[in-house]
Amino acid sequence: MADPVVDALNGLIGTEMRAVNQYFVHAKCAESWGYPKLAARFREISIEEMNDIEVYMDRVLLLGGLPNLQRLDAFQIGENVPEQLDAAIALEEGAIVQLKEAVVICEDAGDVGTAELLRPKVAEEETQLDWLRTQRSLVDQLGEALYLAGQTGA
Amino acid sequence: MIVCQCGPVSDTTIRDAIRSGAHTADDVGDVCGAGVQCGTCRPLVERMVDEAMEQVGPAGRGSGSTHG
Repeated sequence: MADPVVDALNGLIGTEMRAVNQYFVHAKCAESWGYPKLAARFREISIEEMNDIEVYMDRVLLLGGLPNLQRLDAFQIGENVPEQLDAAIALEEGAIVQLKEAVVICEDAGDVGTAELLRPKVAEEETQLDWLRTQRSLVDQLGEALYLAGQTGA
Repeated sequence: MIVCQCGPVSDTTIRDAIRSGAHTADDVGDVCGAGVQCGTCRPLVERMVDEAMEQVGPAGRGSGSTHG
């Protein structure tokens, strides 16, 4: 019988792996397009997501499960910066829903420790989402060209 | 937005394929190559086809004249 908490954590690991890859591809594209500031932030987020994976993997192992890194669903690659931001927003929105569901699963299973581990991650992802939405809003307010001018190395 | 990274194939190309008469994920693969190599994006391609077909409705299938 599968442990619902381990299963939920493995689901989160899958989402985080998508996030690591998506942000990293977007970072390298943004760098290649000449937007090192945005590239640096995307790269930083990618590494933050990787650190989350490590936390979830450690927890799965502590619970006697096996971290599953095979669940890598498709993710979307933006062909320009607004599309990159839209893809990241969609990913984070999904991740927050999944995290909240995982907290409920942990609570239902009486696993307070894992629930407490996941709870602060919700706020972290919400902060991330807020930053992304702000960037997307800036693109709309300033226009794409002006926003992107602010992301160059100058 | 790039949907199929193997191609690569964008969402625009996939929607164009659907508009031009590809009404299943297999059809889309035949037309533009999306979802036929590693298969990871296949669920996404299927969802795009389903959504497009829902918008068109049964009467529109086969006409190849949907809006995206």
